Amino acid sequence: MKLKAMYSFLNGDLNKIEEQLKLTVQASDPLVNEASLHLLEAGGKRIRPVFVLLGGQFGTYHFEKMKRVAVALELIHMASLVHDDVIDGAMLRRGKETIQAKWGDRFAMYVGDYLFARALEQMCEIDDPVAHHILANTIVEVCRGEIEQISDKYRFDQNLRRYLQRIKRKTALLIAASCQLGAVVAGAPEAVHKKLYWFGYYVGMSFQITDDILDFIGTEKQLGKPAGSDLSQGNVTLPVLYAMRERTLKEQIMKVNEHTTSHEMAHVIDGIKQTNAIEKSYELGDRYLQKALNILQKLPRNRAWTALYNIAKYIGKRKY
Amino acid sequence: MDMQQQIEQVRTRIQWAIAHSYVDRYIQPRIIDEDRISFALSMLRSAQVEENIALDYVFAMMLIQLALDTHDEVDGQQIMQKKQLTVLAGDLYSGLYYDFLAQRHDISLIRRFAEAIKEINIQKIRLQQLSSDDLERFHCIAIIESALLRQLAEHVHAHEWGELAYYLFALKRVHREGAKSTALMNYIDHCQRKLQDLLPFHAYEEVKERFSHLLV
Repeated sequence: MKLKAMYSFLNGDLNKIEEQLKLTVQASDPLVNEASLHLLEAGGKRIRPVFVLLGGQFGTYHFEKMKRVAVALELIHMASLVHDDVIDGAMLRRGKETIQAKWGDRFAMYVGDYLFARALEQMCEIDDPVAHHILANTIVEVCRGEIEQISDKYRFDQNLRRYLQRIKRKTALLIAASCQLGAVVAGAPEAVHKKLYWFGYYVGMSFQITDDILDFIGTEKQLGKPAGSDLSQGNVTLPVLYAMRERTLKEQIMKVNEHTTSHEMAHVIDGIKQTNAIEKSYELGDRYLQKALNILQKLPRNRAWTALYNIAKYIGKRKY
Repeated sequence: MDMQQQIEQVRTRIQWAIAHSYVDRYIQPRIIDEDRISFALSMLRSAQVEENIALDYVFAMMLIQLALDTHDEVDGQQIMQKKQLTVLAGDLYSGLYYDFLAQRHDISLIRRFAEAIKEINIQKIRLQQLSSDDLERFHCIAIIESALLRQLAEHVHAHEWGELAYYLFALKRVHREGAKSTALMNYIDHCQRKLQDLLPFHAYEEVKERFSHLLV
C-alpha cells in the first residue's frame, strides 16, 4: 500500500491545507513570494500535517483549528529546511535549487525567519496555552539538537545514549509534537494526547534510525546523495557506533575526517557493511517501532488509528 | 528599581538565557543594545505597565532582536562551523522568545512580535534589492529598526511611542552607517525635525538624555 493511500480519507483536508500554505506565505514583496512558492512547489510528504490531522481524530475534530496547527508545523519545518541548507551549503533539495544556492545565504536566513514568523501567526489563532507550550518547547529542543549534531561531528568517542538523544531532538520530537498537538487542539483527554506523543516519538526514532541505515545501504539514485554521506560529513550514526565494536574497523573509522578521500571512504563504508552493524541497527529501529505499535494498542480504535498503524508499519519497511 | 538597575537585570537575564558553552566558543559575544532596552522600559513605564511585566516584555523583545541581529551576521565568507553555529544560535534565540511568552500564556504578544519579525524580514529582503541612492531604503531601515518596538507600543496602547521609535532608531542606524550622501543628510534632517516635534511632548527625561546626541 502506498503511503498516501493510508490516509486517503484526509485528502480533502490536506488539499485545503496546501491552499492555506500558499496563502499564508504570500508577502508584499514579490521576491519573498517567489522564494516561498519555490519552496512549496518543491513538495514534500507533508507528513507533519498528516500526523496533526490524524491526532485530531482522537478528539473533537474541528478542521479550522487543525488547519492552523498543521500549517504552522509545516512552515516551521520548511523554515528549518531553508536554514539547514545554509548550514550544509546544500545546492539542491528534492531536485530543485535551494534558496541559498539561488539567492544567497543572507537571503535564505531572512526567508527562514519570515516563514517562522508566519508559522507563529497561524499558531496564534489557537488560544490554548498547552499547545503553545508544547510547540515552543519542541522548537527549542530541536535547535539544541542541531547544535549538538555540529558539536558531535567527528567525535567517535560518543556513546549510544548520546546518539539517541541527538536523533530524538533532530527528528522524533517534531513528529511527536505533530501527533500530540492535533489531539490537544481537538480537546482530547491528556491520557490520549500523551500516548499520541509517545507514538510519534517512537515512530520518529525508528524513522531516523532507518534513515541512518539507508545512508549506508541505499544507492546514490535512491538517496539523492552518495552513500555514506553522513559519515563523510562527520555524523556518527547508529551503524557506525555498532561497527566500531570491531577493533580494527574502529581504528579505520576514527581516522575519518574532512580530508578523507572518497576512495578511503568507500573502503570504510564497505567495512561497516560487512559487520553486523546494519542488522543490529535494524533491530533497534524495530524495537522503537514495536514500542510505537504497543502504545497504539492503548488508544481507541477509529480510522485514524488504522492509518497510524499502517504508517508505522510503512516506516519500518521503507527502502528509501 | 531605577532605570540602570532594570537595564542590568534585562541584560543579565538575556546573557543567562542565551549562554551555551559550545556556541559561545565559536561566535562573538552578543551585543545587547542598551538604548533599545532603555527606550522600551521608558515606554512601558509611561504606559503604566507593572515593573515585572515590563521586564518580561523587554526580555522577550531583546531575545528576538538578538536572533535577528545574529542572522544578519551569516555570510558565505565565514568558516563553516562558525556559519553553522551563527544560523543555529539565531534560531535558538527565536525559539527561546516563543518559549518564554508561551510559558507566560501571552499569545497576543507572541502574535505582535511575529508580525514584527515578518515585517522586518520582508524589509531586509527589500533592502537588498534597492540601490544605495534609493530613498525607499530609509523607510526599510526605519521599519527594520523599529518594528519590534512599534508592536510593543501597540500592545500597551502607547501608539505615540511607536512613531518616536520609528524616527529615533532609523536615525541611530543611519548615523552608524558612515558614508553621508545628500539623500542621507536630507533624511537625517527630516528625522531630526520629526523628533524635535515628538520628543518634548512624549518622552521621559531618560529618553531625551540618552538620544540627545542624535539630535545635534
